[in-house]
Amino acid sequence: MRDTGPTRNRTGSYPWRVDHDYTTIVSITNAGSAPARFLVEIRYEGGPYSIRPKELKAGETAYFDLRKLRDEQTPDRTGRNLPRTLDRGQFYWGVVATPGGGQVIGRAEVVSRSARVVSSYSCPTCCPPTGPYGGFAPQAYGLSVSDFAPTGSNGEMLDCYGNVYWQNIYWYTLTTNDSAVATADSGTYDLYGEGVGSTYVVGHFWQIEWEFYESENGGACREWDYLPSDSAPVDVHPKITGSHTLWWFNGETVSGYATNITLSTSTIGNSYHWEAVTGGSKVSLTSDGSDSITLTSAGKSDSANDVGIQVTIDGQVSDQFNITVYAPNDLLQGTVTTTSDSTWGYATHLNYYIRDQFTTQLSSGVPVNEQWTTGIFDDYTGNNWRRGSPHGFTTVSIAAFSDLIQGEESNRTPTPIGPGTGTAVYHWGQDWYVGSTTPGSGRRVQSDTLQKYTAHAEHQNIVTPSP
Amino acid sequence: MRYCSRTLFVLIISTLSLAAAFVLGSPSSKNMPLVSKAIVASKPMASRQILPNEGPQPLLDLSALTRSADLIVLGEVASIREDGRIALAQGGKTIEGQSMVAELIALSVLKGKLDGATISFAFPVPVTGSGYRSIAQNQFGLFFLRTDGDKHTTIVNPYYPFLVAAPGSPRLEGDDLDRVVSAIADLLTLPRVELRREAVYILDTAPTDKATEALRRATSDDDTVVKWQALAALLRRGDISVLDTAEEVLSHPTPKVEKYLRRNVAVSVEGIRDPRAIATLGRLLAAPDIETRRSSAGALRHMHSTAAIPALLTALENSDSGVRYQGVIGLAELTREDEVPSVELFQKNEQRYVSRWKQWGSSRK
Repeated sequence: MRDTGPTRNRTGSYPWRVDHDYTTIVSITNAGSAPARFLVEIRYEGGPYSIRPKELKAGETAYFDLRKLRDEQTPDRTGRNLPRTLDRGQFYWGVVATPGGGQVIGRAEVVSRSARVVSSYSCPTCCPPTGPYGGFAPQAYGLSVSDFAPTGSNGEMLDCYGNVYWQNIYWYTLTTNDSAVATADSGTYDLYGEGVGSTYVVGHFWQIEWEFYESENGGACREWDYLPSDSAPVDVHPKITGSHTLWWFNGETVSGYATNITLSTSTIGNSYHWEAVTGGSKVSLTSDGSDSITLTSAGKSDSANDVGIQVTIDGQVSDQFNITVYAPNDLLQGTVTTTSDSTWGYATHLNYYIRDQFTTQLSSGVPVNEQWTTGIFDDYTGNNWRRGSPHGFTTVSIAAFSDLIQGEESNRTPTPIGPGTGTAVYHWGQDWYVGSTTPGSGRRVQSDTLQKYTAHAEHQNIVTPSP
Repeated sequence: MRYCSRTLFVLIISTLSLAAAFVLGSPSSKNMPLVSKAIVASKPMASRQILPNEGPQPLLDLSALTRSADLIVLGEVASIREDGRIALAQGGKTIEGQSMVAELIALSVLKGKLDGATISFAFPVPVTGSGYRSIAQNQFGLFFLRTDGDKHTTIVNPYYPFLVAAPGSPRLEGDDLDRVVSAIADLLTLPRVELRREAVYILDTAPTDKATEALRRATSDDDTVVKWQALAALLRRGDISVLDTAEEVLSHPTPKVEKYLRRNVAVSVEGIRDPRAIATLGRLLAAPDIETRRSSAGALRHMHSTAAIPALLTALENSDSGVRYQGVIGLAELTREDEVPSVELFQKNEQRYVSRWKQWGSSRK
């Protein structure tokens, strides 16, 4: 504890207005030789608006344009904005977390051109606020090896009018009890996981109280400095690294898409056990018992990140590592175009885009194939149009393709004609698969009826997805 | 022995047919499938069955085609001959095919350099239907060719070995793609409507300003197919200059515009990414057909703009589940929400997700 003796007030409170063409600009200057911190509270009915404490270097000035703060709807530390209709209130500031109090002065200028008014205020209030009173918030931390985790704090300040307001704590020192488990950065207030285990983070901070002595120099504030501490438990878990994305093509492997991935941990131990704690039916795990595991897709995710993997190393359980198993799921039909064809009468292009279960188009080329599911059903009695074999191919660059359906040679019955409506000739059932070029292999994404007319073709009765 | 006799018979007939086609210049020769011109080699090949295609193939990509070509030649095929059997890799399998060689008379060269007025190039013809585009004698078009180190020239893409083009001299201005686009765009001035339609189909795949200009001109075409396919192509590339026209036809369907053309316009709306379209897309969420509503919701989702939030919230009230899903997932993506349901999970417990986002919408007012 330290009594620094009498000092001048390091706080102020000014009226402000921004109605009509009035502007109010408040300046806070650090006139001392060491950094100092201060807080601001704009008080009004329905308020207050609290600005996160700021640090001023020696000689530095901070400006607050009240109109700008209101009009730009700059949120305060709690996310609150000044009401757009607010045009006056009280601006309060006070030095905080600055042992010795610093030499901070404030001034407010209220200007109106139309009213030819320039007012300057430099009104000290009683004494600066006291505090903070508080500690870590949250009061416990968990992180993985090699990961960062920010600490938080919660402190309360008390001004001379009895107002209580929040202020984060400036840690004077921040350490941990076991640096083999976790270390703390006293500059950024971050924790860093060094090794699996448990420890405590310990912080000290300046707590400053002010007392007003009316009899000294016609009234002066006396400062009392304390250095309290707080601590919070820290648990450091094994960390899993690897890809969060897996693909499932109903057992097919597809170039450019990971249908199996390897997860690993850098934590060294005697025993390892990997487990899918959620979504276990969507992956299979192989080679358990070491510092890595191979996951192979076995089904698709129902929602993003619904497969959770954990590793237990010598009894210490890792954080859950979440994975999404994507799968081709449906076809989005694009435009349909029928052009004339000198050999076949017409050529209908039905464009399709291949999407996953979240209706996002797959990002690169993928094998696709069709399969006939029925025999031919004649619509035109006596027709001798032919049916080709189902095809497969791998799309290039993008997950999209065109189903090209041609008419027939001109010597066939009925005679194909150029693009148009035409007469129904025949139809059959068709399925679409993604993940293989072999007809009927991969993941089925659509079922439809392929209907050919004399002048164009269509996919009818489309069902997609079609698991 | 019987097999050999039959082969010999086919050889004689085929050779005579081919010779007749060359000598007589039969007008039907350009429609004649290549199989009828086959010259059977000493070892019999599986009989070729050229059937109409009913299979998937790559989307036409004019930019990629132009980029991949060493030579782009506007010209006419003077002759075609067989050049032996080859093995073709297709769909992860190897299939038997015939290598063909075409002699092309060049009228203009849009990319690369040609020594002389003709060039020969090879192209494959699989024994079974493949979706590969056939090349016939007298075929006129823009041929996309690749030349290897031995000056052996082949086609770049068997699905799109050539594209239709206007017979006049193309403007040789701008970069390679600009020249190709100009040659295609010239088709729009021709009286044959099928060529204008084909031009729109091709220009749709070229994301250049020149192609956009040509498509805008095509929206004034007398032919409804050209007009509406061009309009759809513009929307798909995010051009909102035609959005008012699209909104009119999508909000008030008319029999004057065929259903499939209107549908093409509807699905193309999903290509819009310009936030200035948000108000229109919001109104289209109330369009009579589901495709329009779904693609409008999809466009709003893919904008990833906070300005789209009110419209996405409106999508939650839609009568179509697909539209509501786009609303939910669009809001989840914008707010980086962790719980993103798949379509199936959403459909199983839709009320939960819709209510949640409606509540979120109410809380931010």
